Amino acid sequence: MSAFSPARPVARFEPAVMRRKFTGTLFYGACLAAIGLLLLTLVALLVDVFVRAAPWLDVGFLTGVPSSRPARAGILPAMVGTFEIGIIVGVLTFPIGVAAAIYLAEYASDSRLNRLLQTNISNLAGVPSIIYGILGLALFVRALAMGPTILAAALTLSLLILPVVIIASIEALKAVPQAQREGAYALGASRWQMVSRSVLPAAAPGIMTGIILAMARAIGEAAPLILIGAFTFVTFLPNPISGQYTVLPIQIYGWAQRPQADFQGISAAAIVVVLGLMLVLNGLALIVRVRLSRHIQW
Amino acid sequence: MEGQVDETVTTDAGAGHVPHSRGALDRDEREIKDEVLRMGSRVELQIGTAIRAFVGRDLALAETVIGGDAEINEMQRAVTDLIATTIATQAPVARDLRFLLALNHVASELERIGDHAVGVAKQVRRLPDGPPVPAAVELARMGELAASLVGGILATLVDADSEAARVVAAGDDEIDHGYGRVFVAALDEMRSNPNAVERGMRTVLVAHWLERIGDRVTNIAEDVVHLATGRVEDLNP
Amino acid sequence: MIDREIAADPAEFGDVIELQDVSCWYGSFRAVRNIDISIARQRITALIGPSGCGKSTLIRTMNRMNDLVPSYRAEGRVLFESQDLFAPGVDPVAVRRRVGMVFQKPNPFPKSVYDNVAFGPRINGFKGNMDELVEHSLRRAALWDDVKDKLNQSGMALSGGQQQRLCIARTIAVEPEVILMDEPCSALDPRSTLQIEELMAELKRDYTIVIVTHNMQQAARASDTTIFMTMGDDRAGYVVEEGDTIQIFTNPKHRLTEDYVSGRFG
Repeated sequence: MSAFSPARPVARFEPAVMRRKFTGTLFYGACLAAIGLLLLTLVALLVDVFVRAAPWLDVGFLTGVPSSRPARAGILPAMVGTFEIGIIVGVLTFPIGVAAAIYLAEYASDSRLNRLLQTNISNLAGVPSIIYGILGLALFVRALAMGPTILAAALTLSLLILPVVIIASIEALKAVPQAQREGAYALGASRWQMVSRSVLPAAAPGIMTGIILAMARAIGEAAPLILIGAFTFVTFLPNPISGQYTVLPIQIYGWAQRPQADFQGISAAAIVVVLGLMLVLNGLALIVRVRLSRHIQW
Repeated sequence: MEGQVDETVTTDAGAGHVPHSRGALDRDEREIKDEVLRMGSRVELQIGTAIRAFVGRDLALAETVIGGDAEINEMQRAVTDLIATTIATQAPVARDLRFLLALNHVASELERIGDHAVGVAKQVRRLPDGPPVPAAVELARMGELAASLVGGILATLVDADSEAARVVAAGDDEIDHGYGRVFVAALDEMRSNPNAVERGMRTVLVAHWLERIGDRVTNIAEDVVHLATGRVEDLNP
Repeated sequence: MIDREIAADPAEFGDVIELQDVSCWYGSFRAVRNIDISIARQRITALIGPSGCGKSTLIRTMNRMNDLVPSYRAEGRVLFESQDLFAPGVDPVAVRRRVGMVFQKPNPFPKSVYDNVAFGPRINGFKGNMDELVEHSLRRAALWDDVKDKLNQSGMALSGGQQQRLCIARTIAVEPEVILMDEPCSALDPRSTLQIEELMAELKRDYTIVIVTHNMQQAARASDTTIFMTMGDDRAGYVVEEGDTIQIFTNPKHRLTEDYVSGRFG
């Protein structure tokens, strides 16, 4: 097949095809390099952690309590603390966050006040978590006299992730096409029926994913909890409304501070547990999203 | 345009109401109209030639008329094809559709008028030798009138002038009267002279063809009126 | 040719919807002015006109869908079965069950076919055999054979024409009296378009249908009455001519109508 020969000479264009292809390849290479670097770093980190953690991960570790001797230390209280906080945070943020998002996305008019409100919530999502720690300390621990308990911690973390949940839910609600709302209205639905039976189910995958991921973030937080008074050495299973508690990140922090190599080891083991937990939560978010959006095609 | 309300209902010209033409459709319509007018001119010529041939007993002239009919038939087929194509490809409605349907019918009527002219010419072949045919002058006049009616009605087609069409159609009455006169003259001659019977019969036949041509002109006039006003009027009481 | 037979007793035909001197505003912009039209019972009325002349605004006034636009305001009387739809006590939610709407782009819910059709009846408190209602609605929408084995599959997995028929099925499941259609076929291929037109001819035995369309041939093929609107210099839409479809397309009364249906403007 011969090359294309136009009838008239193409005097006006200088395609420089080779140069353009070269530029394209260069750019592609730069992108590959970036991701390569990232993956390399991640793999190196993971390998390092797993290598350190390997000798320390066993059933005893998972079911035992912390001890001054690394060989006998376990993370059960920390895990229980993490679970309890996780559940309370979930139960609190889900209804409040979703309800707030529904109001802002479906009911509120597009006035300056409401736009200001949404901007403020967005900003709150970016406030450093330690600030929430200070707030929690002042409000829940001291002013409401809850003391340094799991409940106070859960409330603080709820405040932390509430803006994130609200924003994610608003985005999920706004992603539902207007045609869906019109379709529901055209069948004689009231506003609440339209929201609850048409928009909410359609936005559910996005909302659920947002909540699960926000919770994953919450249970990974250490800084605010340090401020509120989580302990680093707790050998008993915490009671949510009284007494001392710890969570996995804090436990890791406590062990990592010790110079002995063995403590570094069990710290790494705890990190692996946390990573596993994150994996489970992210996997859950994925499954929920897929399951809830099986009918959605837009 | 007749039959339509002028836009005095609203004083504004209306935003975006600049009428734009439909180039392809307008071209097709022009082409069809031109072809029909050409056809009409040829038919007009055929009529005049045929009647001259009969009155003058000119066999050679008659043969040219008979031979010339093939072309008229071909033109009618071409017009019908063109109209079918335009309807299929342009999806005309309202006035455009009435125009195309009218022209289709006009072409068909012209083709039949052409056949009538051939009918006249064929009588020349069979006319026995002898004295001039009865009412020859009347016949010649009728023939000229028929030809001019055809020309006249086609002129009204150009602008869809329904008033003019009615006027032309009224000229059919004159042909009808002429037919009556020729009939009587031929009858008289046939009664008094048995040798003149064949001559007389063929003369009446020719007059009959001319009378039919007049009727068909009236049909065409009805098409013009329908095209212009959208109403069906009977101009053949 | 689509059946244009008229009922034996024309006196039965009253106007189910009547617009008296209706003008619609979006804020300070008047979208349509002084509309006086009536929609005949159990017939198909087509609304045609150039883009932007207010056809959609007009049709959405008939089921108060325009209420969803905050700046919208309607003047004049919109009578549905002789009752003013904009009278103070009238609840738009109740209106929309009786005057249904099918949209330009098919918008089935991301639910199963069954749940799509059952949505309307459920929110309107249907107390009866839902399975029967769903099957009946799907049959009337000429969709039952296509989906009877797939009722649990997603409504969004259907083809464009099927989706639109699904939307029609769910609309008729709530037993409206009028079905408004805003260019229902413009997103569909020609075959689906013809299927829907045949469906409309069937449906008009039981429902009154109003259809907005850009497709001249569709209006000519499918409707009994045609209303031609256009936009004035003030950019407000107004009705130029309203009449029998056959007459509008063979011998319209107004020059503007003639030009529009011939494709010579718009």
